[in-house]
Amino acid sequence: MSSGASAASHLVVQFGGVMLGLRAELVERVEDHQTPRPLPQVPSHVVGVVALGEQTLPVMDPARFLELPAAPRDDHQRRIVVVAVSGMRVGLICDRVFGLRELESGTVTPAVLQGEALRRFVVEEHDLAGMRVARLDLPGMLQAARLARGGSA
Amino acid sequence: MSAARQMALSRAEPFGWALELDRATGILDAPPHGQAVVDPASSLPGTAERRYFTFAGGGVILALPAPVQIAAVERAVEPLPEFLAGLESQGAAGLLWRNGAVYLVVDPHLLRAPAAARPSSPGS
Repeated sequence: MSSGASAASHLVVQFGGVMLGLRAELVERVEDHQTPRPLPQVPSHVVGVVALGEQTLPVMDPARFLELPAAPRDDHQRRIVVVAVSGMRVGLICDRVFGLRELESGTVTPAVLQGEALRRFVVEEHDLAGMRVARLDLPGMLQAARLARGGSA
Repeated sequence: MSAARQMALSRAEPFGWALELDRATGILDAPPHGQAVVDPASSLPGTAERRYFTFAGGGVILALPAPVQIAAVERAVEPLPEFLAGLESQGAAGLLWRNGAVYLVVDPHLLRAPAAARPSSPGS
């Protein structure tokens, strides 16, 4: 996914009814949805772990973390997007994956998305032929969402 | 291929905990007096019965939901993913997959008695 992607190339996904752009070089792969095995005493956005090959992948629900409304569930469209940031590999539950899009300065549009938690991690909003796509600060969100040593999200 | 190790496996659906048996010095049906008990499943309903694990040097007692299965486990324990490193605060040092379920592998060195943990006392 990262090879050949320009700095403005983003994987556009949807969760919580919002379309968001994830920097393509941070996206490792897109997996079919599988139900994570839950873990005890973790925040609700940490939905569990899945086995991915020989490795265990923690899975988070970004819609819960960003306090977005739950979208109607459609397991045919739902995917786990595997991202790798600062030594962390995490699966993000996405209601839908649209594919790669270029997010450029010429498409930036005034911010209208609401929600304090969401706004904290939206860098800017773009208008792509009528589709509003929010560019997500993925490293910032994962740092805030992780279960850090000596504390928790 | 990793060598098989004897592990204590405890499940309180949908969660699981595992402990290498050679880390423990005893398994009791009741907690010894005067020592703090760490009970990671304390907030789960319907899991009243426990087995209590003691460790060398005293310190905390680990309570795990009964029944506890003793099994030889060949699969290696995976270290905690970086995103979940904070699970150390629960005493977890790794993850173990077994029969499609995942277990938090408890390291007694990481167990810390929470402030709310009450030392058991005679008559309590």
